[in-house]
Amino acid sequence: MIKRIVIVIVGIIVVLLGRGFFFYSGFYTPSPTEITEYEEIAVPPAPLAEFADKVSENVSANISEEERSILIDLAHENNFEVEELNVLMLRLVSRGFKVKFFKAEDKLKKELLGEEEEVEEEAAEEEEIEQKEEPLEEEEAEQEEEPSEEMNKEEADKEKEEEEEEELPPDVFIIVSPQKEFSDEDKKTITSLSRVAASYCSSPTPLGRAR
Amino acid sequence: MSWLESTKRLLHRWFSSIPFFILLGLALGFGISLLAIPRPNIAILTVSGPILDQTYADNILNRLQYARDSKDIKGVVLRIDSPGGGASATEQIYLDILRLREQKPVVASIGTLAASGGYYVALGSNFIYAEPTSQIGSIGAFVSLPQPEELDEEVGTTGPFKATGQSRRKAISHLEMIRQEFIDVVKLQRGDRLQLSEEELSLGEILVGVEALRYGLIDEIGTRTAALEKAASLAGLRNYGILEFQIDTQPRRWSFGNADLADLKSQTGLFPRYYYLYFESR
Repeated sequence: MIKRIVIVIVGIIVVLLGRGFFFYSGFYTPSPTEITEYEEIAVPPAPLAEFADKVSENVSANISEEERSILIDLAHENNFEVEELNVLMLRLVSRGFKVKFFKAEDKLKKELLGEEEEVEEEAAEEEEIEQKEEPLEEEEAEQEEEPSEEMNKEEADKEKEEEEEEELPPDVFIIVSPQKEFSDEDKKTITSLSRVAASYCSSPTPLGRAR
Repeated sequence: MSWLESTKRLLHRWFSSIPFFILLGLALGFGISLLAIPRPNIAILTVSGPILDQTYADNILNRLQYARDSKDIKGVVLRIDSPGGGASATEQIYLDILRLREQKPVVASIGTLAASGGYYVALGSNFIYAEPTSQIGSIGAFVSLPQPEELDEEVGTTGPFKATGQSRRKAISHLEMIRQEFIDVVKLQRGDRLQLSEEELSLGEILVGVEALRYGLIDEIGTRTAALEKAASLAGLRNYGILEFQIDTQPRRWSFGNADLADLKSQTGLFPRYYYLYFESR
């Protein structure tokens, strides 16, 4: 009986092997699958434009005092970024202009007009305020209480400061003013400043990013 | 009575004889083998037309998953005739092909065109065939830039990029990253066979099959039949059946005409979209 069972088993195995060999000649051996290391792919920094410009040296000398400041406003929905200004800045630098970057808290008006002019302007404004105050004082004297001159000055100063603050837009500014001699080191500084300004632009601020 | 007894004796002798048990073993073996060793199949999956729609990508992904899970399917031939499509959809298919490749051989057979994302998909396979005049390459990507932020004043957002996702400049930086990713995939999957530098690959040029073979973008010149034989050979099959997956393809309207570019532009919104796509010339 065992012999017969063995014969049946052998028969089964023979058929299985036969079918197996009919269809298969081997097995698939997968090669190791390599996947791109995605974490190593980084957003590339925007390339800075390499730009060489040849100009005559006395360009800035021909520009009048009034035209010596250029304000480039990155705020107020102006749709460009600091790095996009590289070519423009290098052109200006090669013509002997100096480029400065200012944040919102910098005294833009002071930088644009210069300290002396600002002082003169302030004095003129104070005079105007005093002239206006004289008739006011007479009118107010008729009323219940008379505010002191010091109080009026403080209030005027506060109003003035508020006006100045309101005038200052909330993001990065670039002021361009002329300077005849401009060294290579300064050029490097300007390039690095543009990077800093760009990083400032891309970092979130409480006000958001004005464009 | 005598004939009945003689029949009984004959049957008893037959059922106790060795040939009967041999036949019994063979019959049982045949029955068991049908269940234990089903006929192996090579599946043909056609990737045709632009892969822009996620539904179309999902159809392909479902077939790939079925091929991976099925015990009858021992290998897959990818029949590619595609100009590529959306970057995300293309990458999904590529990554799923890599997963399938860990279990079963995948052989790509390029028909008329495997450009951009079409070639990206082919890179996931073990072996790439193309025909002598197949169009292969266009390695690179493009982006439909986000619209400038000119939102209606009536619309409020919580952040400066809430509506657009990013600036146009950032989108271009991302495009460069996506280009680099594509190049890395080509270099990784083609390895030493690749005869082109990164700069040459980045040109986004279309090559014909014979050129692609010379530069190592494909492995051999051959048709679908060759691909089937290769898949069978890699899977270790002598005899096999062929199983064709049918997927409804998208209409091929992606030529360089203005009308078709307008089609693409019509799909762009405020936020950027990235493509591994080649616009065919008419």
